[in-house]
Amino acid sequence: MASSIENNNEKLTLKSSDGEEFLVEKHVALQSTLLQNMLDSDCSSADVIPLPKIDARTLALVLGYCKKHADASSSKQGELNSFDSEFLKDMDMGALFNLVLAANFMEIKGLLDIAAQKIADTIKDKPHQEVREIFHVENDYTPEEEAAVREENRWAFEGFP
Amino acid sequence: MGRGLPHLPDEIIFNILSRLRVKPLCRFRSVSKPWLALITDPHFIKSHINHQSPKLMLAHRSYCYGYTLDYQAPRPAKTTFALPYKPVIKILGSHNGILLVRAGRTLRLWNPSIRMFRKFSPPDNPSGSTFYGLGYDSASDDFKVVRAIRPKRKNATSAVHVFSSRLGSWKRIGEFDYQMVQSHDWTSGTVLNGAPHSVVERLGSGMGDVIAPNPAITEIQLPYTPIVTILGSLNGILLIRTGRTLRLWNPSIRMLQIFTPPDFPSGSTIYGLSYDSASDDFKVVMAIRPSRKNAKAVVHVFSARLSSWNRIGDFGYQIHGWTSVTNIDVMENDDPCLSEVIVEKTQPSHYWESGILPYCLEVLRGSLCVFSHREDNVEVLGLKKCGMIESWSRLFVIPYDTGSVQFKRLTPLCSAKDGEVMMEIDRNRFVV
Repeated sequence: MASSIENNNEKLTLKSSDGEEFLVEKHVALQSTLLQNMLDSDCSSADVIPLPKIDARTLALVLGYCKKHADASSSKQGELNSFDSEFLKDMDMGALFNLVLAANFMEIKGLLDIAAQKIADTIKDKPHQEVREIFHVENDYTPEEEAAVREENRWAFEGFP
Repeated sequence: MGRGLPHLPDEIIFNILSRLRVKPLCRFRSVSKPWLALITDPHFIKSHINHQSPKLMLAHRSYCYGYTLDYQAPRPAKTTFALPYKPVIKILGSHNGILLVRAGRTLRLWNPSIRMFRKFSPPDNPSGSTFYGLGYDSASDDFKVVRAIRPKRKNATSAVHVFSSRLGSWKRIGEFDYQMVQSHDWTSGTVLNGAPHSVVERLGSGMGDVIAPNPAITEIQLPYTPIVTILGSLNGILLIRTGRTLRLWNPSIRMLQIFTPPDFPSGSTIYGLSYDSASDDFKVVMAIRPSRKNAKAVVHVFSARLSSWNRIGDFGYQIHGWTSVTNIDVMENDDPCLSEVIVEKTQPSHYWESGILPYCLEVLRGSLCVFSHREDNVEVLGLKKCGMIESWSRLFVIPYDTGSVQFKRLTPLCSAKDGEVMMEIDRNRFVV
């Protein structure tokens, strides 16, 4: 069954959560460990691989990343690094979150790394109350407990409200 | 702000947080109880360490300077930590970014990066001077403080105590004889600092097995005659010289390996003991300091496994300070070719003049670094690839004026240690 994919010009079709289909070259898809395992284990006999958690906009970004890295895997690292930083530049938090989720689901380590790093860089100077909102964390401290933890780490709050 | 953003699973949050520096992490402890638990979890801490660039801590009598060691950065970033208390303080040891300090009669394990410390008192206040060493037992994730007392009278024995930061208590592990404590291994704290835990524990268990009130004396007098010099110790194994014979001795099981130096040179000799975990082999480095200034220094390495010496080269320079060099690297590094490398590395060091420890050696994140004190700065060289002289390269230079005026005074005491950013949070776990 796997041979049918190989015969099919080494391409496979991915389907986003919102129903859009992407035709992807096999060597590009192999950047994803998830897809690689599916291909290896012959379980992708279907012509279309559904990715129900990833929307079209995000999937297009992911595949753009994969294509660049698949085509350039033997070329210069410096070029890839500048591609990576340009790739994430100006990306809003929502897109970043979708990207990190997609990279995590599809097991694309390089993309997961840079997206997580970008998020870390974005939140590092934010007050903890805002970080709480960004990650939908429920504050389970009582006001007294919160004050105590804060007092313990007072030095880290210099310049924060 | 958070509205409309998808929820991230815990594993991704873990991944993101492990990329943050210590300061925001300390702040984000206030986010929620689960976040506090995550940030102080040992598993998280280990992961965090892997994401952070190593830090270098330069200690001065009253300040610590933290430098970020970044191979790419043109200049190291500097953070200055003032000690949390004044004025009399003594730094007794450091390990993985944790300092053991004494102020008056109080001891503290202090983590400058997260500004937290843990206070404790010595087990007693003995007469006679005391020696401290700090060690880390990775198996039980426990910092241990060793205290030995040098007795005033020659035939007195010396009690040795070990403090476990995990248990928060002292334990008396036994009595050592005068000779033992007199030996440089104990008094200098070098070895205590290096492989302190294992050394002490091994010796300790050795002592526990023996019912005699003063087992160290018994053991030490058994195999050899009067004059014994302890040249080095590692993981409970001592390197000893009696006359012209060298011995690797394991006091706990009373086994020893006897061997002789490859030759008997005219100059003075310097020994170092090292362990290669890859081949489970103890290695002894012997260097000969030539008596004439322009003579060659010969260096041999003995492999306990092969039971043979290997001459690794001649070096045409002064090799002052080697004792500590070999001892220091011995402590932390498992690198098989390390002892050889140390020797080789000295080669490009035309500016390392003889005198009071012109440089010192540290292990930063598993790679060997040399601190070379020059006229107006400290140069740090790092070995990128083991066994390759070419791979020695300058990591960064710390100008004397980066710190305070007193920076220069740091030169002689130079206690530079590996301070990885996040170990500190680990510290916090026992601090809190």
